[in-house]
Amino acid sequence: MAQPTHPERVPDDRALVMRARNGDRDAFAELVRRHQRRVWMVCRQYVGVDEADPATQDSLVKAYEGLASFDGRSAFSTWLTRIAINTCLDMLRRRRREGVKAVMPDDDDPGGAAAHVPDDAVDPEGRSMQRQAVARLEQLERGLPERQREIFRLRFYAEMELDAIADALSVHVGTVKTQLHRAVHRLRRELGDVR
Amino acid sequence: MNHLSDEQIAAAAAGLDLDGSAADHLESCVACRTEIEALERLIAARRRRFAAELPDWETQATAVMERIPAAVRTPGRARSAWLRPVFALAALVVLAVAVGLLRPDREPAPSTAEPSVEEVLAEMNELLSDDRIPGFEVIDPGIDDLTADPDNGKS
Repeated sequence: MAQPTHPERVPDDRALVMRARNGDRDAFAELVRRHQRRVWMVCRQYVGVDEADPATQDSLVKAYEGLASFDGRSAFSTWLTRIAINTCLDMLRRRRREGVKAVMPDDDDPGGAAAHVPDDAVDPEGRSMQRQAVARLEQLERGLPERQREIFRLRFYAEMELDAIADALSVHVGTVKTQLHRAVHRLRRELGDVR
Repeated sequence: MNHLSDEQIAAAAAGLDLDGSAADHLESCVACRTEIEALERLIAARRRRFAAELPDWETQATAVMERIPAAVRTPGRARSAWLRPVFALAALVVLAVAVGLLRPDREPAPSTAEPSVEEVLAEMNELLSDDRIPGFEVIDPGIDDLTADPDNGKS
């Protein structure tokens, strides 16, 4: 009788962390592949498109250096996100210290959103309206209080869960909900008919 | 029921839980769902712009892995950082002990060599020849002599 076949078991993050701690570079390379997109999206929200790649690389190298301090109390992805956020905040502080003009994450894109948004509206008028709406949303996001903007972007663009955001920012999940609700409410109100 | 309030629409668009009646209404009300979906579509359109900026993941992963050997020797560096003061303290203790042992005016340590068989036998003979009951020799011999203490030990 044939033995039942088992699908190849994919090691979870914790198992990979353990292996990486013991010097298994392939295990860490797998962690990089799994999480680099999320880390990049987080960095993109903080430092802009030009710095997102170096910030992502720095974050991943720092994560490797600090593997011994990962205690497993939170998910590896959350721990890594926290490192990414701190790396970005350090970069922004360094920029300020060095007197470099702060580059807002959206200011480094002279083409604006309209140049990038794929057209999923069927007619030219619809496409034009959508571009305007996206451009307006970008502008309004910049006007949000810092914490609201941060949480809004982590939720919708980095696509993080609420408790993961709370963990990454070291705040209560209730704070995340409140700030997110305020951000969405304000954006809806200010967008008005543009939606 | 009336349509959802702006607050409730915002909460739903943010992905937050609505209370029972509001959630029931949302399920059955096309107008309220349209409000939420409009914002969701807009956010999704904004999110798609990032797709045009994504780096090449393979190149990025290679760059990260190339930096790792240069960045650290072992992944346990963070642990050794907090252990450093402990190691320093241990080194101080070892140093203090070593200095104490090497002091020139220090008396020679008593010999720890095991006694010979003859020495042990001699000691045993001495003990056996002593007719006092071992242990009682430390008691003050005057303790039984009550007459020697006129106030019977009350003072």
